[in-house]
Amino acid sequence: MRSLRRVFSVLAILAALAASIPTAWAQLPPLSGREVPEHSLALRFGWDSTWTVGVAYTMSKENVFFQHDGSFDAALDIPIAFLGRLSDWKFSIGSTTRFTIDGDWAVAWVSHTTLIRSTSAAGRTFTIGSTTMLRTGAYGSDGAAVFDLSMRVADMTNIAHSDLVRATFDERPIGAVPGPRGKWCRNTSQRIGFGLAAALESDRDAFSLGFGGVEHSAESGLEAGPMLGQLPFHFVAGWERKVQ
Amino acid sequence: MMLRNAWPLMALLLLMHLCSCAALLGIDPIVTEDLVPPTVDEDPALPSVTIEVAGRTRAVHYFAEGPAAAPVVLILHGSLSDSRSMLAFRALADTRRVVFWDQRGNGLSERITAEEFTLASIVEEITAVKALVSPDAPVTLIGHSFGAMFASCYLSQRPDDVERAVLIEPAGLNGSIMAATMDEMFHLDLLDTGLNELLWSSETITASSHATMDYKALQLLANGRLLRYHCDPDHPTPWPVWRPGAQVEVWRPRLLTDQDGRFDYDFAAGLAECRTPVLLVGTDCSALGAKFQEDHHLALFGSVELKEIQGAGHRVTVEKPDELLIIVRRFLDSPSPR
Repeated sequence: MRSLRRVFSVLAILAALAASIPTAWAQLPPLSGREVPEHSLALRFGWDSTWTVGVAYTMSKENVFFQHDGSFDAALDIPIAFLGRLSDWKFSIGSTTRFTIDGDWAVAWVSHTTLIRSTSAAGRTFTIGSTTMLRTGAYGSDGAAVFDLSMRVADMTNIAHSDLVRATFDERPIGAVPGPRGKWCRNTSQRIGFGLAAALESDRDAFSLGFGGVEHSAESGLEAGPMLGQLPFHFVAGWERKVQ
Repeated sequence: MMLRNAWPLMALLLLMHLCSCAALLGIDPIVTEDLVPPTVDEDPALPSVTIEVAGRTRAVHYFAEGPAAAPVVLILHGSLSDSRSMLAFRALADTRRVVFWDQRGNGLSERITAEEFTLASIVEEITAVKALVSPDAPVTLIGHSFGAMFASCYLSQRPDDVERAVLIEPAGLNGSIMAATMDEMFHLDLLDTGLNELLWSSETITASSHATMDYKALQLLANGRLLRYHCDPDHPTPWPVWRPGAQVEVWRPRLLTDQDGRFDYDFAAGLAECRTPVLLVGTDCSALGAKFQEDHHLALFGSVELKEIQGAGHRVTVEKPDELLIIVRRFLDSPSPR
């Protein structure tokens, strides 16, 4: 079982790296010079905080915002390790608007609202957050290659503690401060990312897509090791196809 | 036309973003007591003493049990731990003065800065606590894991201050042992459920403060697969801790390595000639168990015995406290060579 896991890990890394002509799939704005697929579905896989798989739906429109092209999308991502229990997931819904600079050069503004659920020995957290990305680069007829600047914020998070956490308070011999209550907290996570995103046409109605980069989270002068913080990179590859 | 087609989605998106922005209006940010118990400087009800170490006066969570005039036993917890994991040794208070404290930066003791966490300051801290409770007479040290390594380090530097030492599953007591055995302890599996829980939780809470780091360290402690310490890695024995000192844990490798990152320390220097009795305790499940102690540590001490506890792992202080206490009592009650 362990060796199978190891093999799967290696294959997963290789697959993601091989396909990571980084991309933007569901958030990818319509490519210029081609008919825009109005409805498309994408499958994606990669490392984003941990190994995840996801499915995304995109509805693209021309001239949707004051003559600028745009798209709306919804996506569900699930950590692979939790596929069996479906307790941890991220649902994103958002829009992308592309502003042409000159010819094929454009800036795409991607704005998403995210709902994220996470469970662990410490309890359960549920976040309403937002993701904003600026994707600047070339959007050609056969593909796109852009720089990706992103900010991901957990705007508010509901924390429900497990017995493990409650016991850290309850089993003090003395202590004036009562145990933690489940509550909403704001700004529990802020991450800034920089990377590349790209899309390549694989046939008339499909793209191979991917993105990758590095990420930094604010630590207020602290030093967090990777096991306590996060691995500071992400790379995801996917495939998107017109469905109508 | 297009705008009209898209308006329901746009309205939904606008509503959801407004919800997100509402977070900024009336919801508080995370404070310490939302996640982990406050420390002695934040909660005056907690029992504490102040010690001066590394040029700073710090309050540490401290309590002692047993007759005030009895021989003193100092209890040293390990990494990502505090005295809560060592409470089994309260049973020794029938005949001894048993002193518990959360080492600086850990548990309910005050948090410290990176400059205060050095090898010299570890010895200085034990010296400061000893000065409070047994300024003139040598003490017995009981340490677990990193606490056992620190006990060995203290014994190595101040042998006259130590009556006996109980070292429960210390990791490599010098740099060459640690370098040779690191891989035997760690097991990194990027598909491991516990590790993925910890990593995925960064989507909702990142380690941006002491409290959030400590909270994540609690998750780390619940993972039985990252370290080969357990009889059943899928169901590790819960490790009782009030607050794991996560920031200290990040600094900890600096105590052991040189500027190039190579292990460079010797916590057993001179102990082969030292006649202070030492009891090494190991288990049969842990990578730091009796076999490890026999292979790597037994020869480092001049006066040592090794005991194995069966059916337990590295968390033996909570897995087999009764068996552990029998062994420790027998050792402490044996005639002193001094």
